Amino acid sequence: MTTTVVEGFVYPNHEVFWGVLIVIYPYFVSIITGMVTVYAIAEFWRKELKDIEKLVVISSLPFVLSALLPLLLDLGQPQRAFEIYLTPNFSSVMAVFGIVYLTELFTLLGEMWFLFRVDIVRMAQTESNKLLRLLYRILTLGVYDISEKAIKLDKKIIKILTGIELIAAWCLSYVSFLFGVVKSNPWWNTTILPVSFVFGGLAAGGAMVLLLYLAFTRAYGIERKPNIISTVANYAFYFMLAAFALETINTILYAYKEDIAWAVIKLASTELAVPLAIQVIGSLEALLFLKYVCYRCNLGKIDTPFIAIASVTILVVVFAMRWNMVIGAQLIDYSLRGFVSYTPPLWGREGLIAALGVLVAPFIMLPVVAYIFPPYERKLRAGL
Amino acid sequence: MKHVRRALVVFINILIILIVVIFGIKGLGEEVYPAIADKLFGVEGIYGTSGEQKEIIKKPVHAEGREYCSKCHEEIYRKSDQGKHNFDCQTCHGAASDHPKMRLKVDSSREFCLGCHKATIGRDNETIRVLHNWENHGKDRVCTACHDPHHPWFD
Ligand code: HEC
Ligand code: HEC
Ligand code: HEC
Ligand code: HEC
Repeated sequence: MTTTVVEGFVYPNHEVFWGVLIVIYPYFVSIITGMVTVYAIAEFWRKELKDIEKLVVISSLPFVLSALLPLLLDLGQPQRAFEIYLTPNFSSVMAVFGIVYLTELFTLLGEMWFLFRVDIVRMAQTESNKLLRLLYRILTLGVYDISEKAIKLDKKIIKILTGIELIAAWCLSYVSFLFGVVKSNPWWNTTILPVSFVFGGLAAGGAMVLLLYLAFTRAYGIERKPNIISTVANYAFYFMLAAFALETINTILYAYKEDIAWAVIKLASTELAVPLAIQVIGSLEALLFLKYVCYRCNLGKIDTPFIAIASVTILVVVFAMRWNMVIGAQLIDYSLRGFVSYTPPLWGREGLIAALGVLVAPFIMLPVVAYIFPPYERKLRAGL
Repeated sequence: MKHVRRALVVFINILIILIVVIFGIKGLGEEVYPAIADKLFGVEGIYGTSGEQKEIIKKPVHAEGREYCSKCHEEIYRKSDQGKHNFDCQTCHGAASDHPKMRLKVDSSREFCLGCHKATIGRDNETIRVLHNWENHGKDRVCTACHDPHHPWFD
């Protein structure tokens, strides 16, 4: 920590307590919310996205599971994490998080089960690996009924679960950002910010779905469909636009009023210059590329590099947004007379290595989940 | 439909198990969780929940005035009056309670002194003299090897 002298005062008298892990947590939550929303869009509105339903569901699970990791690592006493369930307190945002999180997890698992039930029944009968077959047998719960009627009922239940999950995911997102906002300095301490962040998150989820679609179609040797890409990219575009517009409107308003928040922005933007530049330039670039991708896809052409660049850019931009809020909000002293700087340590529980491990965790879990619940026909993979 | 009913049963069972676990752990008391988990991690009584501290907390606190100590510890009292550690003896030794029937705390570890003499967020460094280089000051020796706790300066 370095202290900085501003106008003769030696401030601050505080530290950055929320490090890079607390940046990753809302980031994961954003991605989950985005993916769940894409799933809901597929379920309720855009029938052409039915193809990626299974893909989206199985890839949400690793993110939901990993969302706990950064929080656990950030706790001073991780062994006491379970206490949050023993001493529920409804005035605590953290406690609300626990309940919403469990709702999200259970609806996702339920959705997965109903979505894969037919596959599970089939694989319980045909799988050659004994251990896997046993797993599938247990998962059938002893019912092998895959008649038309049963499947119809499954679909209805999936719709209900998706509705609940969507609400839970949005709450999770909103609560997570509210959590940050209440402690934040005037720049981010606004009503509009959580909303803008939810939109940013939706864009990130869309981008993640696009990337995973590229990866999975490649791994399973499946032909990519331009209309799927263009639909998802289109949604990502508008979500990104909404997030960008809301933040920009907010900032312009501050600049016009020249109130205290503007002073904070002027102070903080020197310290946050790089992530802010990434956020603004990246947003514009991502918007441009996404529109281009949509345009090309509508012509029936798929430009893989452009899709990849646009998606990665969105993911980076949204990470930068989370960084700016979580870290940025702590850089300025509450007295507004000075700021600290934050460089995450390399090692240790809250260091960069740990953060990298957390970021990679879902991608380590994903192949395992995909192996047990293949989103596309498994035999196609053999040909690769 | 059969499969939906079964799924519901599984889900409800999971919920029941969760609730039973929560109430079970709660019923066993803090001596079990988080105390056992704490012990496994080698954490002791942060947040005042170690068994020993719990016992102390339960006892009624009974403090005496500073002059009370001078009745029997005349020498230490006079010595301390002349130095900078001339504040209440009970700051360091804990509340008098039934002393001398009950023994008082005597802590001569480095951590104890550093609790006041290390830089702390939120306290300005003039209030109590701060050792900026506390790791190396009298390294590996207890502070009382050189400083008299009751008269810390050397005159
Ligand atoms: C700055 C904290 C501090 C204050 C204030 C303080 N003491 Fe102590 N006291 C200690 C420490 C530390 C020791 C242990 C010294 C050692 O280990 O050599 C000690 C030792 C003692 C002992 C001897 C115990 C033994 O086993 O040798 C007595 C008696 C005592 N203090 C009484 C008093 C009285 C009476 C006062 C008030 C006038 C007082 N103390 C104020 C820190 C303090
Ligand atoms: C009635 C006389 C009396 C008074 C008053 C008294 N003490 Fe003691 N104190 C003693 C005796 C006697 C011992 C020795 C006990 C032993 O060695 O078993 C003692 C021992 C101590 C010790 C060494 C640790 C221990 O418990 O054996 C400390 C520290 C201490 N006193 C601090 C204080 C402080 C602080 C006060 C004022 C709140 C105080 N005393 C008031 C008689 C007294
Ligand atoms: C309850 C807090 C507290 C504890 C515990 C404490 N001190 Fe102090 N100490 C003070 C205060 C207050 C002063 C006087 C203000 C100053 O000049 O720093 C002081 C002053 C000193 C001084 C400078 C004395 C002088 O005359 O300039 C020394 C040396 C010192 N302490 C050593 C110790 C040692 C060794 C211990 C452990 C036995 C200890 N302190 C424990 C509060 C504490
Ligand atoms: C090797 C003997 C030795 C040990 C052990 C020791 N000190 Fe000192 N201390 C000194 C001497 C000598 C001075 C005066 C010269 C100086 O400032 O370095 C001093 C000075 C101080 C001062 C005044 C510093 C100042 O800047 O005025 C404080 C406070 C102090 N010591 C606290 C402690 C504490 C707390 C411990 C235990 C963590 C401790 N000392 C251990 C020898 C020692």
